[in-house]
Amino acid sequence: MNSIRSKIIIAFSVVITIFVSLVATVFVVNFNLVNNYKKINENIIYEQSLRDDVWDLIEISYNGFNTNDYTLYYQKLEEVKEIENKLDLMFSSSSINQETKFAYRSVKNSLNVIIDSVEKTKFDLENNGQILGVSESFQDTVLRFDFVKQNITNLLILETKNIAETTQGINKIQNVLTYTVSGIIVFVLLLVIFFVIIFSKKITTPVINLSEISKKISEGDLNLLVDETLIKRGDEIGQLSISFNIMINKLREKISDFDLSNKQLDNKVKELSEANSSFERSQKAVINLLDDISKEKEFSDSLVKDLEKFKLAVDNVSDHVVITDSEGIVIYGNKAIERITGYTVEESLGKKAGALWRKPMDQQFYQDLWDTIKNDKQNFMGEVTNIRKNGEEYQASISISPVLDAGGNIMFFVGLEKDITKEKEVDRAKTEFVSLASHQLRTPLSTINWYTEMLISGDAGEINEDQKKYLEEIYIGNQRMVELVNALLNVSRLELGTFIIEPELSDIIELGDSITKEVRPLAEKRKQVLEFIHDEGIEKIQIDKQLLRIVFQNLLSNSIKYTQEEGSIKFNIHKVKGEEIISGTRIKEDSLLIYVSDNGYGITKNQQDKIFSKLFRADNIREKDTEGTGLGLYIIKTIIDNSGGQIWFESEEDKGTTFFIAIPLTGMKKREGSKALS
Amino acid sequence: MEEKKVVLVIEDERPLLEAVKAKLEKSGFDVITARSVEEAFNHIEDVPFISAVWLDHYLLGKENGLDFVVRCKEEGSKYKDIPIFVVSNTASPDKVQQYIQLGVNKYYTKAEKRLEDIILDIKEFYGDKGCSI
Repeated sequence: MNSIRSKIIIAFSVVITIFVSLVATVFVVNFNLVNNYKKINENIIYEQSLRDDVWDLIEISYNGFNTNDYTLYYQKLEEVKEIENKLDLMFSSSSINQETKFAYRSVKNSLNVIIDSVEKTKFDLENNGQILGVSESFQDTVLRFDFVKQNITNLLILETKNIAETTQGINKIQNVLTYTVSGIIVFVLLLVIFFVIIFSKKITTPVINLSEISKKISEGDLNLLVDETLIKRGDEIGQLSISFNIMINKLREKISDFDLSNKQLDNKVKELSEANSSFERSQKAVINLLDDISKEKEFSDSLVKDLEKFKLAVDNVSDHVVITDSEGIVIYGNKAIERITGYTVEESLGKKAGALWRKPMDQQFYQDLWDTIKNDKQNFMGEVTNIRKNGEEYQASISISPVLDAGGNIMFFVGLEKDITKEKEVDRAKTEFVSLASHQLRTPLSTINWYTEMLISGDAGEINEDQKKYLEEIYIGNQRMVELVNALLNVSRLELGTFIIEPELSDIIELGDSITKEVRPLAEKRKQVLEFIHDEGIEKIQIDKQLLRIVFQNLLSNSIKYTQEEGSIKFNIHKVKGEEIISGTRIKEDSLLIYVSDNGYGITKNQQDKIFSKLFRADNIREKDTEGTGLGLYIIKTIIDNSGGQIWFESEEDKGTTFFIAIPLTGMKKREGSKALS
Repeated sequence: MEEKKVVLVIEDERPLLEAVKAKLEKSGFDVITARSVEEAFNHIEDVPFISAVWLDHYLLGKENGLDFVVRCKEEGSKYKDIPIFVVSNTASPDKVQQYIQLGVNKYYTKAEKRLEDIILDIKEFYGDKGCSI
């Protein structure tokens, strides 16, 4: 690839190579020159030493020939030979000039002469043992010594001249070199600048181009692309340009995406601002609410104070009071709980009411209880057996009422329990008393009854008409007494409050039929017409059959008794609607209307208000000598009043009487007690 | 020849006891009397068999008519099947209930019933059975 980077590298490498080689060359040349100079110096020094040695030799020779010490002479000779060899070596190179070479030759020749002569002398000495006169050669030699000295001195002068020249030459060269080197440096620098300019342009131009494009893009113009020429380049800039283009394209895509998102965002922002304004509205509402709440709080604070009074009151009430949640778990209990059951309030909290102290009742009881309070949402009353903490059992009468909220849902139950053990005791005592009293009263009556019966039957012997008549009077009187005792016993139960009303779903028409049948013989005896008229399809109704039997019996027997012979008695049972007015009395709710009407003696106006009183018998009746206890109406009124019904009458003397009873369709009200009437 | 039926009359009031005895004997029964439960049981053991019992509720001594019935009807008692007719002045329904639950044959309220009628019932009882115990 045509890389800028590689181009730069190459360029610099070239430059540096040139530079380095030039500098190297310079140094090499310099080095050589310096070496030459050094060599010449060495030569001079060497020649100086040669001269010195030759001088010494000459001296020695000169003197030597006058002595017999030849060793030194020989030594020096060897040395000169050595020197000659070296000279040969030195001047063998062709670089020395002719002048110098000539001078050297002269020296060498001189030296050779000397050496010859010396050797000859040496030979003479060795062989002859003497120096044969002062030989010619020796004289020559001496001359030659001077000659040598001179030659050597010339050589030295020449050498010095050479050195000076050489030095000059070297200086010149060095100057040249300096200029050359400077020139090279300048040249190289220019080269570098040249390269830099070229390459920088190659780099900066595209970069500027790209930056311009970037600027235009940032200003929003996306329709540019990098120049083709840049793309076509195969180097790094080319790559950058390609990438740049890709980036621009991608940017365009992204921007169009963003535009889309933007539009969506705008919508969302609109929605949000709407939500915000509704939120602000809610905020205002909340603030208003908080205001109301603080007012409420003030109010409830004052209620709390009142509540505390009530709480104190309930806490100290003598009856056991329990408040439970809608599942029957105790959330409050008053102090009486501990006093009565022996369990503390703390022990009772969180448990089902009665869990601690109730003796388990049968399934049906609990079912009835929950049905009444939870499903019917009505008050439940009943009697239960409880067990105190110490194990003692006692009877309690319980009353549980649901408390409903505004929506009719059960918030909690309030339960009251009363320890009725004493009451029960008293009740039992009363009941026993009544029972015993009735027994005690009836026993002598039974005696009279049966003995009279036996007498009348003739078991004690035959009796005459009068005796029979009198005995029958006794018998009848006794019967009346028995009736009276029965009635009094019922009254005493009513007064003692111990009688029960236990309604059961029954067919009232069937009861009416049965009673009618029962009393018919009485009516027939008096040749009276007795009719039972009733609506068809009257459904079964909650009634206490035993008590209603007493009521019907009483009304019918009254009518029969207090109507003349051949009179007529009508016994009616019909449905009536609430708010209807019958004989001056408004019917309270949808009821069964029962009435017995006769065309008998009636009740005088001035005695009508006493008709329901105990033992009351109207004057017109007493005149007619009919029998009666005067308790019947009192008894039935008490029964009807206590069972939620209505009883009233209309009557006119000698015209007749109608007694009305209304029993609600919902039935007779249940009444707890201990004794049923008989 | 039919054996005379023996009726045990348990009643605390002397005049009433005499009246019942007289009437029963007149009607052809043999009568044994007792005024308390204890006395009654003594008699039962002495006499070979008793056809019926005429029982009042309140009696002399600590035990009353109910106790008598309970003792008779105990498991394994040989007197379990003796017919009992309760004739009492206590007309409280719960007492009646108790007697009937224990298994007496009938309950009469003394003051409201004629001697004759009660005895007629006893006779009918045997008439139906057609045999003596």
